[in-house]
Amino acid sequence: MRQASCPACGAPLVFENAHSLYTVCKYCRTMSVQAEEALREVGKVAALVEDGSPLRLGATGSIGGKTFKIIGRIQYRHPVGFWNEWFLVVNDDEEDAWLGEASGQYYFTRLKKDAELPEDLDPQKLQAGEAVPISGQKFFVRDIQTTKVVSGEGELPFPFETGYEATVVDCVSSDGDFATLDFSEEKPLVFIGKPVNFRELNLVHVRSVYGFKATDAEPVTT
Amino acid sequence: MADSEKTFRYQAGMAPPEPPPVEARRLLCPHCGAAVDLLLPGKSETVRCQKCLSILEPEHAALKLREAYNEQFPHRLWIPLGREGILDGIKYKCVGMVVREDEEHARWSEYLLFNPYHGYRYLVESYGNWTLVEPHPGLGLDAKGYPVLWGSSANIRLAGKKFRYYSHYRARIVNIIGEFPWRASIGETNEITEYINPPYQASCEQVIQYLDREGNPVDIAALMAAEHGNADAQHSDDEEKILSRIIRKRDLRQRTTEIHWSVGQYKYPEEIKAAFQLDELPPKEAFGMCEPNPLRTRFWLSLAITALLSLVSCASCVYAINNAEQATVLEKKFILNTAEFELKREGDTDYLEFSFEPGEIILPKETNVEFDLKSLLEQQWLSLNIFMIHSESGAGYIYDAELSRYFGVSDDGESWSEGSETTSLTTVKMPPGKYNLYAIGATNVGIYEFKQNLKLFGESASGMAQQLLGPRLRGATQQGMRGVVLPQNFAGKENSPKLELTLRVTRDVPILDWLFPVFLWLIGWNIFYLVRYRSKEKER
Repeated sequence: MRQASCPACGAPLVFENAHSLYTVCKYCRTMSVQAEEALREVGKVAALVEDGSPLRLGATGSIGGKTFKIIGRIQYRHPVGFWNEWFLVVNDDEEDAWLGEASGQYYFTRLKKDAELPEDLDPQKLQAGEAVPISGQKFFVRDIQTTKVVSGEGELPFPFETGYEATVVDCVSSDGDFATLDFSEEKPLVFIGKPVNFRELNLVHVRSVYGFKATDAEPVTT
Repeated sequence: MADSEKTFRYQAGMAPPEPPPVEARRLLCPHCGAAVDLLLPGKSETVRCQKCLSILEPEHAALKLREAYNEQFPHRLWIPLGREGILDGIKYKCVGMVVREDEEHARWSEYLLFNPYHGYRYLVESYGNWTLVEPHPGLGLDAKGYPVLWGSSANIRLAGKKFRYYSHYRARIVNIIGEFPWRASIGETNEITEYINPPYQASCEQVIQYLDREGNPVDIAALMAAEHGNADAQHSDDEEKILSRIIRKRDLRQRTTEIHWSVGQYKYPEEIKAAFQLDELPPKEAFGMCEPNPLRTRFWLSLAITALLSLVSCASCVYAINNAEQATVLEKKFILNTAEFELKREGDTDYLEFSFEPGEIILPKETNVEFDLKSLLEQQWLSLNIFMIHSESGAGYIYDAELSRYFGVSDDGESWSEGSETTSLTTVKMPPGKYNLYAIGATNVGIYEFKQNLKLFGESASGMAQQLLGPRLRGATQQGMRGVVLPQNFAGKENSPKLELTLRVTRDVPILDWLFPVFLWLIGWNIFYLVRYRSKEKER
């Protein structure tokens, strides 16, 4: 954990993940990047849109015996609804982990920088149901969607740009693995993980929304 | 950048700006001015005014008119909007309802349920049957492990379960009420493929993109709507034709961009009633698509009982066989000269009566006795009464055995035969002791020759057959009716036909006669339950 202060307003900033290069100040919504020793201001970012997500920065949970904390977020607009990618710091873990979240659906994934994809994979030519090998594992395309970046918060390993459009291809394997191919850059970003349900995440400090209290997240025993 | 932001400087102890809580909001219908309660601001993209039914769209803390209506909602909402209920341990709020129908105009309702932590569910009500449907992140796979595309009638595997194909149909949205996280509109159609594994159900919907010759996506909904206006088509089955006409005319290419699977579970009406505190539910008018077949359990139960009884039967057979001594106590072959028999007549039937003494048997303990009788017969019959007389108590027991064998060739050249040359009978348990055996029989063996000899040599003065027997048994021989006997000696007597009889007596034999009827009954029982189960399945 490193302490810093916002180059725009001076507010204290904390980096909890060694891989975080960018951070959005929660006071003045200025994005800054770590440049050599100091933080450099990148610019103001747009406000997040209230999407009713029950997750928030600082919420903690555990999955597969490893505890994690939500430290950043990129908010996307899908053709239907919002989609959040929450950036996590996982205890005793080197790899970056993300929690994809959209209206009660959750995907715990990790960015695979060395993932191998077929040459010349064109998302515009892909069809749902088609097989796509990822690092030798057979995945099938489930959906192909165009997403637009809305905004973000907290600390992040890469920056975001409001309004940036990208094609995102979600894939599943026959043994239940999940992969997202993000075509926002020339070399697609590959996230691989598993769909999880809310209970498997053991989340604490979730938000109370729409009159549902955090206790409503737990199964009711009557 | 606004001035206030430019000059913003953090001061120690300052709290970060928190977003206001997300709660239901009361807004106004831009069409009729009525209050519209938006239950899920930030989530819902479509909301309907409950007063005028205009379709509205939340935009910047207000509602925008998308489609104006001046109607009343004609469908019954069994679960009121905003009502909360607990299903499978999760609290849901009912936020919307969609009425859909298929090509055959069968209608059903889909209640949209919401929990911010667990997401959306559909609670489908069809003719009084309820199914809770949840989106599934996976893909339905076929036996080879490849994704099943929509419309495929293959059996699939999803969520660790196997499902069998049920149906494929096009569903049209008849009406909507409440709010939805997508741009919902009336008249929209979707093709759905359904699979079942009661109480579970899986369904698949696909999103198809239509591309023109240059590969650019076209707005098929707008084209359809335009075509609709021209053709004035109303029904969902026309939808198909309009679509294929547009595809043909514009030379469009289809591209599947999304495959959505969901898994449902049957819910008994009482559970729904209790969960949402309802006073009334729609009457159950049909057997549910994924309703557990109550006869399935009964069929499996009958199979299980059959398996159990079969096992018990086999075990008791093995026990009976192993514990029976099966000792042969007498085995003799008798060659009886038919010339020594007695000709008798009963009604129109002539027969020869005879008797002989097989000997004595000893039963060291109380056991049953089996008589195996064998005789070579050709178009002949034989019946035998075996008398067992207990040598000490004098108690007598009679057992009957019959043998016959006929064969021939029928008119159409098929050879046939009936009867058998062997028979066996088993007695009940007999008290221990020594028994004297006597046998009195009747047969048609040698009757022709007997009658010939009778013509040649005449009859004897006295019946000798009866003299063979003790006085006690005399009454048992055809009510002591007197017959005709050949003389004791006459020429060619030794050449008269012989009746050959083999009698074997075994004590303590296992009794397995009950086995066959028991198995027959079990098979019948199972068939009965299988037929009932199958016919119930057809009601789906």
